[in-house]
Amino acid sequence: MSQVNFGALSPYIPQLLAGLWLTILISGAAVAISLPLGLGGALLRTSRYRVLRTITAAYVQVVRNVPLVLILFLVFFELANAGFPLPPAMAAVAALSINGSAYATEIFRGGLAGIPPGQYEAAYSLGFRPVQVFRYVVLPQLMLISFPALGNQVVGTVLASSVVFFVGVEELSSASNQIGSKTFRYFEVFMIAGLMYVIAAQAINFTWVRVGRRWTVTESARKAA
Amino acid sequence: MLDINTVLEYFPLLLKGAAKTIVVSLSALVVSTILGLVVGLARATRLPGLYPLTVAYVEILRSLPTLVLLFLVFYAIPAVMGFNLQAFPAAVLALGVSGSAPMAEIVRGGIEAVSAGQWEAAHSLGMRYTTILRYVALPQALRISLPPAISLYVAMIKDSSLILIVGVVELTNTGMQIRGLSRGRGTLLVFTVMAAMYFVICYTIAYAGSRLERRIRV
Repeated sequence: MSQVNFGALSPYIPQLLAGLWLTILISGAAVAISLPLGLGGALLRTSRYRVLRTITAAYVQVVRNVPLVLILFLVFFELANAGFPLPPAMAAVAALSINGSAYATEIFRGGLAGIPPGQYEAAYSLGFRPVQVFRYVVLPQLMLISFPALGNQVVGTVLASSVVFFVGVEELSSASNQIGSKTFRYFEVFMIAGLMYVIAAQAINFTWVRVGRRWTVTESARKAA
Repeated sequence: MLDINTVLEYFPLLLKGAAKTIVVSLSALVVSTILGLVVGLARATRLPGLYPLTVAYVEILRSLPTLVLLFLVFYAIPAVMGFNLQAFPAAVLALGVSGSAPMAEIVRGGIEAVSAGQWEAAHSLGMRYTTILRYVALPQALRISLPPAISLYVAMIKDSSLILIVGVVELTNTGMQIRGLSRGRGTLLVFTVMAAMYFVICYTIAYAGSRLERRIRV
């Protein structure tokens, strides 16, 4: 039984912060890629062409039923085997984006289903072209409906980004493990890392709810006006 | 790369790995369902004294990656407490605890979704709080909770791939070992077969869930 000593870790705080920063960068990139992909996926998923619907549905089903770690290994090891080696951080972002885009597709699909058909009919009868219907009628309502679920998705991506540990990207979990194996202070380092994850997740939740509230209020005020 | 022999040679190993994945996930699923029910009930009924604890439990665990929980349960906590935990129970515990937080939220959501009229009607019939909970609220709440619980179970099966980090030889770990044994040859097919096995396991759970859902619909 060893003595708990958080002070012993003070020289490693910069390394942990660098890990946290990399976690934020990787998950930020993955969110930035997967949300637009998910929006496109939802449009394909509800397209009038059966082929497109089937392909997107299959993509979503497969990705949602296969572990992220396996997707990561496929991207990292098999692309390298095929002669396209990706740096670990890129493979990490790619795997997280593949995973995230499937979930985002489902979120946006649910959102699209929540827009009453009358909205489309009204817009078309006013002479809007399809692009305009999407841009001015569908998209604002879609974002409003999907906003809370997207917040969970962002937090989920940050937490899921810990799996990139397995391909050797030195983000927060990986940095913690390295420090742990060097100092044998696994408890202290993972308590600190855990605290960082909790703070990051709660900060995202908090901001998301705030932004969402303001946005919802302005939208409804605009509607009322 | 697409060397079918590697898959054929190691197929029994892959099946064994898949069986281990199922055993681990099912055990974790039981842990998280029990913990989630207890915490969710305590939170929904605002049990005096316990309520703030349940909020903290859910909020903290929901913000921790499963991987960090695994490290804490397997390496960190035994190190400072001075005991040893085998890889398998550590994996089940970490996965189960990690799943219990969303499970608690699902249970709470289910209870809160039971309409106020149901409570009022039961009260006016002279039923006591615990009787209402047992015979009116919970049967409806559990039906409401089933679909999100099934999604959570699927997510937990996928998360079980993380326990390769503590050395449990489940499906993903088996794949990595095969990759080492075959020096990377034929692994694309091995990984694809693994993905297919995960798909079958997860899809079976989802399918069984939707069948059950149809049967118990009110």
